Amino acid sequence: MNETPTNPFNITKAVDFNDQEINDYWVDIPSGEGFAAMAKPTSPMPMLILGGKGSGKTHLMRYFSYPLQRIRYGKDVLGGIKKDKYIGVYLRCGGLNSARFKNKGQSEEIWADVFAYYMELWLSQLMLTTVLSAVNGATELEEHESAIVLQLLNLIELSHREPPNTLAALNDVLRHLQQELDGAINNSAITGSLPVHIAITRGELIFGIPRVLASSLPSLRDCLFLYLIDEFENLSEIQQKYVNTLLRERQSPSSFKIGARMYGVRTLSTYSAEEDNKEGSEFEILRLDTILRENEHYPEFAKRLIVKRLAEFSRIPSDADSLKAMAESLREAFEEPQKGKFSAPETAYVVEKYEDRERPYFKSLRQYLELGFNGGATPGVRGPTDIKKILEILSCRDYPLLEKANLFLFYKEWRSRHDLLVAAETIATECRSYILGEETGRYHRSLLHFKADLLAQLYRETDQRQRYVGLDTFIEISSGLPRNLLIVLKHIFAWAAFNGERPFRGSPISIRSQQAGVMEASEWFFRDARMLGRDGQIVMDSINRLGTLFRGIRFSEKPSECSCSTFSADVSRASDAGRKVLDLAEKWSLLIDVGGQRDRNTERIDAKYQLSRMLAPRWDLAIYRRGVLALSAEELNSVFDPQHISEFDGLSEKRVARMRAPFFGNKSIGEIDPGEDLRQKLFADQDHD
Amino acid sequence: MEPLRQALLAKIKTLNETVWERRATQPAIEDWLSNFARSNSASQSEELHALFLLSNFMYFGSRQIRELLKAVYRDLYRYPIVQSIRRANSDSLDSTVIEPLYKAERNVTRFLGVGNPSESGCHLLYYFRQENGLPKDLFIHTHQLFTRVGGGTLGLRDPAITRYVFIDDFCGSGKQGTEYSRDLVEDIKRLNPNVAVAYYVLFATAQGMNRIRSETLFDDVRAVYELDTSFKCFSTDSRYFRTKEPEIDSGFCEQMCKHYGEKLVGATHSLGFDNSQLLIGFHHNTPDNTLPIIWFDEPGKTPWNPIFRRYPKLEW
Amino acid sequence: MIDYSVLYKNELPARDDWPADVRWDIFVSAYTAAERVRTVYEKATASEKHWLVFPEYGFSANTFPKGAFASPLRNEAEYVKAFWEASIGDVSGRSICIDITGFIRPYLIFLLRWLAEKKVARFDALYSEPDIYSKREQTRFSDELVVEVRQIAGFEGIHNTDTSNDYLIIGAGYDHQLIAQVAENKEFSRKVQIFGLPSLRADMYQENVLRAYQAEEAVGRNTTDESGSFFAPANDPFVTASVLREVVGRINARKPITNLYLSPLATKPQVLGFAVYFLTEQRNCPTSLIFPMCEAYNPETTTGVSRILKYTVELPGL
Repeated sequence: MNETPTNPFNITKAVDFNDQEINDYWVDIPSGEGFAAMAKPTSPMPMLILGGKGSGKTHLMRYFSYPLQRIRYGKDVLGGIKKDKYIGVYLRCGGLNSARFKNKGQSEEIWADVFAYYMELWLSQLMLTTVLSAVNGATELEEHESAIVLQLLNLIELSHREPPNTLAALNDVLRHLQQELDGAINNSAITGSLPVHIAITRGELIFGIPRVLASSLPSLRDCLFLYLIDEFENLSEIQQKYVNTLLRERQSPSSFKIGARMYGVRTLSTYSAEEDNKEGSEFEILRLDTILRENEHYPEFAKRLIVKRLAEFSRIPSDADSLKAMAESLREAFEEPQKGKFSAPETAYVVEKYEDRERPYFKSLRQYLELGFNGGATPGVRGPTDIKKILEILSCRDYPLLEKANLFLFYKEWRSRHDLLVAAETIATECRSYILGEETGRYHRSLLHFKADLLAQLYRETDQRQRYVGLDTFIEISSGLPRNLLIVLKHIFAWAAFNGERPFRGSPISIRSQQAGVMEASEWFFRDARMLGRDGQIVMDSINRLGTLFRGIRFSEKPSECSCSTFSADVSRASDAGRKVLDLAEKWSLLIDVGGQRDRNTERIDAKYQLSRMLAPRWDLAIYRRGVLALSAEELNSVFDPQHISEFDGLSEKRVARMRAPFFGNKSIGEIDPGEDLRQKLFADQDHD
Repeated sequence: MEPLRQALLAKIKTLNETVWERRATQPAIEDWLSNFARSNSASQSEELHALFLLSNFMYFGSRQIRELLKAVYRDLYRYPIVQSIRRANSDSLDSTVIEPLYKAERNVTRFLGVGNPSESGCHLLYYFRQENGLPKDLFIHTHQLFTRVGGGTLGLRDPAITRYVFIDDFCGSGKQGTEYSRDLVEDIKRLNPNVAVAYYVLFATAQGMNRIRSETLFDDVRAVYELDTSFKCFSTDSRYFRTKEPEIDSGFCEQMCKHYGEKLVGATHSLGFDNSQLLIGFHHNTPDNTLPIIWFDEPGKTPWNPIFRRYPKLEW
Repeated sequence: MIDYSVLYKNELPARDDWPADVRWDIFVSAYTAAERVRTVYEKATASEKHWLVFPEYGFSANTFPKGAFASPLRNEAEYVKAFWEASIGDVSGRSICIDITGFIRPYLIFLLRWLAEKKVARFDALYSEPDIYSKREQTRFSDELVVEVRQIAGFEGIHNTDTSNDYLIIGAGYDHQLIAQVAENKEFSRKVQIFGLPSLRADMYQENVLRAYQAEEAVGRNTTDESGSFFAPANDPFVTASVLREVVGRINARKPITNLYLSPLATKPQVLGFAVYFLTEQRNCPTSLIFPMCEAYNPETTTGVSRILKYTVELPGL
């Protein structure tokens, strides 16, 4: 059996951490006052914290909860709370199992009331438990406890019960009421009846307890009582409406922070005259994904996160200085291909592999030229000798990348139907100048924009895997979501261990381990985005179509956009169904809204979406965002609207055909375009090593 | 070919991390694959076919074997006794009734391992005892079965014993079981026909089980897992070639295994002892019924890098 | 406390006739068009036999047996209650046999509670094993379109507001999507998986782990490590119940569980075991059975019949 180190990136979810670990792993974002400032725990304005999977939302909310305050302040937690000016009570909606508040022979209205009552009991217990823990043993509690209890008892209809005289006993009463309710709800499926006596008016205790405590206990006088309600997406629309109402009818000194997935907010309506809560007036929104993604400090934050992980697992000292040093040397832990002028080191293998053979992209060119010639689509070419000449002119044996650049420009010229021999000569001249150091002109510009794509094509044509390697790449791929980064590293580490390497122990992780790990993480991300219900499949399929389209473009002879993984469209002209699917894809973090752009000609603002970078490896796409593919309403619908997906193949083929040799979308006179068949044959001839 | 190769490696990696106790890391796999020839053509690639076989290998690690030993005791031995106690006592569910009666039965049972003390059958007995919390005195060696009574005639050493349970880890051909029957069970039965003698095994081929059931005097012959012919790698109903991967040619695969197997262990057993053609291994050993290309490792003989090596010397 | 492992379980002949004393007053089976389900239905001797047709299988009216109970009600409580009212009525003094093979799990689970409510003290459950699964490893048992994850009616339990030590015990089956969905629904719980070992076939344990691994990210740490995974035989409900008792006991001994969630996603015998364990020991506790509800299930995945097992289940008085 082999000794393999445990994977330091195994734990990727906040939920798998206990409170102590959250505190230990906390790596604050090094910008301004960090997360604390963003989440505004002392602001009485309720806040909706939206975050996708892995955005750190739960982590953030738990950080502000009382258990973490206690860890931070130890024995003097009351002093700490006074300093913080808030006390955080954390609730996971998942724990309510709110799906049971329906059917079983009862009406929706009854369930709405029962649920509201249940929440009252639940939140009150949490608040009381939390406060009791904080003031436990404090003299002020002794002095005021009975008075507090009496005031609170006014808010509850105890009926036949013995009135409690301590807060702990009161809490017990609430617990009994709640658990009685649990039993009744469970049995209603059997009996068909739900005997419930609602003992508390909506909101009375939720707001009452903080109010009474703040006025009675000096330590909590200026304290904000924060209900941190997480996993909001677990509640149904009606249940959310109730919580929205609490927000709207909020009473000092209570406030709320609601944590939800981006797709998790089903409604903003309330029971207060059916008014909707509005952003800016009843609540503010913190969009974690966007903040993290746009935060220019994210890469630094990411490195600190990794380093803190490694330190914990390797039991290395984790003082600030050693962590800083580790962060700086982190990049070296990953093997990267040597870089050099004209990408010579990266492409050296091509020179070697095809030493006495025709390089695959030239083979394709030759075949296209032959085909095109027969179809009358090769201006300036008179016969096989010309073809041979073109191939010679465009070759640049030492620098496969430049050969690819030559071909790229050549295909461009070809598409524009210029004389091909002349074009080849011109390009060859430009190439020579470029090699000598020329830095202006189209040759230089083309490489600037399309280098990544050309290299990608080269790797593909020579049967190599795409190179998603290096720490910076992983940070970029994670799109600002820490969990994504941890998952990428987890898979990479596992592959490195499998491959017999010693990751983070002196020797850099091999390129192949990185590649395998990234692919696996990308696959996982795609699968993990599964959603509940039918919509899930529809959204996944549309993302698939989009990815395929981008890939078709990237690997065509003359891609219209460079590093294209983004599209723009006038979404208002798409069908309702298409818009809905697009919206879901964005809410599920498969597409990222990267801001609209104004169309120069029409003044219209188009929405702009990038395919999540985590998905880029699935379709061999670029990670760094550059070119934007403008989609017509028709094309958009064919991608996203289930009614129109049958048109997708035709439309995308038409779009990509314009980028493909030898006909670039134009049929040769009187002949059916045999380009596609040739393509099949060409791929079959590729080397497989 | 590349996508299949990658997929097979990914599957093996997962198996490695979960159930194979990390015995098949990439370097070990590379060493093993170096035994085979490479090729540019998928259907002719020995390496690819070897990888395919490996990805179908069934491995039971330490934890799993211990669990199966629990199953032997709990399901094969204990339950039938408990069931008959219940039936004899008006289907009682009362543990104060059942337990003492069960314990009484157990006290007159003796457990033995199959094979000599250094072989895996006996080695497992230790874990069997541990996992099931059994007292030491329930376990004996074969030499403790009999005694010489006055005049040198054979007698049962402990006439009070009503049950002898033989425990084995693997039954391939059934050869060992039949030998045991001949050497021991026949005598036991002759000395006291009312003594029950059982043979319980973790893994057995259907063939092996049939042989023991029909050719021996064991009263109760049971396996936790009975492997039918679908577990035989190149049989017509082999489970390994049911979903047809285009790159994989079962005929080529078989030839390859035969070719190398012959070099390693000779023609007769080139596909595993008794032509079992199995792909199975355990934490403590790999049975010789498994394809030799998986386990062969004999210093001084044909050089070969195994992937799940087998320990004892061959004695065919 | 009852020792589940002494409860009767034995095998009935797959091909030959069953012994004459194997008979019941009421026999219920869930129709799936699988050969083994129909075979068992035919072999069973009973005064009355009932077919249940579940809407999730998508059978059209002319494809299922005449006289079958087919309701469009997709709620397990409503369906079972409707069936009982329409076809069974008073069961006092009558012997019951349920072939659990074709049941969709939530229905089976609720049925057990219902039987206990009706004061059925004991009944027989049958489970038949197939010859081969149609596509090794790739078998899709459900459409995998999970519409929601929720507690099963009658198995909702009381709740603890303290969720700091919640546990989810998953009976891990082949369907990794189901495992992932239920794991994510209870994201905040610690997870423990129960794998079928001994499995129904020698290769199935490994395949099970391989498939469950795809849900690993959702399930979290320690899934195949010793502290996070346990074993129970795939075809033994009673040992499954014992294992649950043991596992829960162990966890509680380290630190009391605040809320316990059980999700049986593996074989039907294991499902039976989970339900029996709950009804016997976990009622009126902060324990519930949760399940990822699917819209559709593939009604036919196997051919042949290799074994038929009979379990005599003892139900507690409620």
